[in-house]
Amino acid sequence: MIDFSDFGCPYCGQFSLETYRVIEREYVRTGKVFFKYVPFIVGMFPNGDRAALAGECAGDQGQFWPMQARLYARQAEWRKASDPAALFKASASELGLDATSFSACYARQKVHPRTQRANQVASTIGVRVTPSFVVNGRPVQGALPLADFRRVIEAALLLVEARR
Amino acid sequence: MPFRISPLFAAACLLVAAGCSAADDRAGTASARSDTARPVARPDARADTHATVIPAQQPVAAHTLPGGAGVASATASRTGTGNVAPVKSPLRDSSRATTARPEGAPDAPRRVMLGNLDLTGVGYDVGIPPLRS
Repeated sequence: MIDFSDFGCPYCGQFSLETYRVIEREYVRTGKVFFKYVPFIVGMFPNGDRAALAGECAGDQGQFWPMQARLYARQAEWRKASDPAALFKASASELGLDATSFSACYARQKVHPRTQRANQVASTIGVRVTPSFVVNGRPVQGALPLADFRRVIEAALLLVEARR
Repeated sequence: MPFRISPLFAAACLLVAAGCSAADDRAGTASARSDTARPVARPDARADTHATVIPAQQPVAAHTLPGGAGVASATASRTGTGNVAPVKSPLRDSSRATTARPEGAPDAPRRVMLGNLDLTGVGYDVGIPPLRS
């Protein structure tokens, strides 16, 4: 299951903070589903590009997931900030990241190389909706209700099982 | 006695007709919403209530994936057991797909393919990519 999301997208946050947690518990934790989260920049969300950089700078220190959760949880706050750097640095500090390295990473580049690659992939695939998912090759658009994801995942698991 | 339609009856008929039309509209809307909420992406389905649609410079079908439907597959070097390794705790491996591996597994990259597109190292992974049998 591949998730193409933008940190500035409210529905992406909704999926990550709510629906995904159940999917992780029921399918990923049990080894049934492999999940790939691809953060890319749509370019239409305020400070979405800066949030992506903050996420990747945390990723450089092995703390991408905690930062991802914080970015989504505080999305409303940093989206309306004129300069969200202080908010991101505060989150990095709370996560125990090396402040100097994080600041250097954040200041050094406009777009992190990993984000560039994610953007390329999203563009190649033709992602036009956030969040967008691919479940065993089947495209799914939007942060649909959990029941819908369960149906798609169960169908995919049946297909995989039938092919064995 | 000539047949005459009472103005009151005519008005009642109009009201009923209008009501039916409105009901049809509502049903149509509900149907459209239901279709929109279906999980499978279609060119005309944008899941308006669940997603943000990126304004298109040119129409690109969101469901266009390299190789068509059902093309996603994941390949991986075989682990020490030769099976898909169970996800270990902590689940959320902050490392890359290419470095997330179960204990004792050989130091080999796990390839994640979407059709012909190699997604190895793209994004962040949770769990272990399945082995291609």
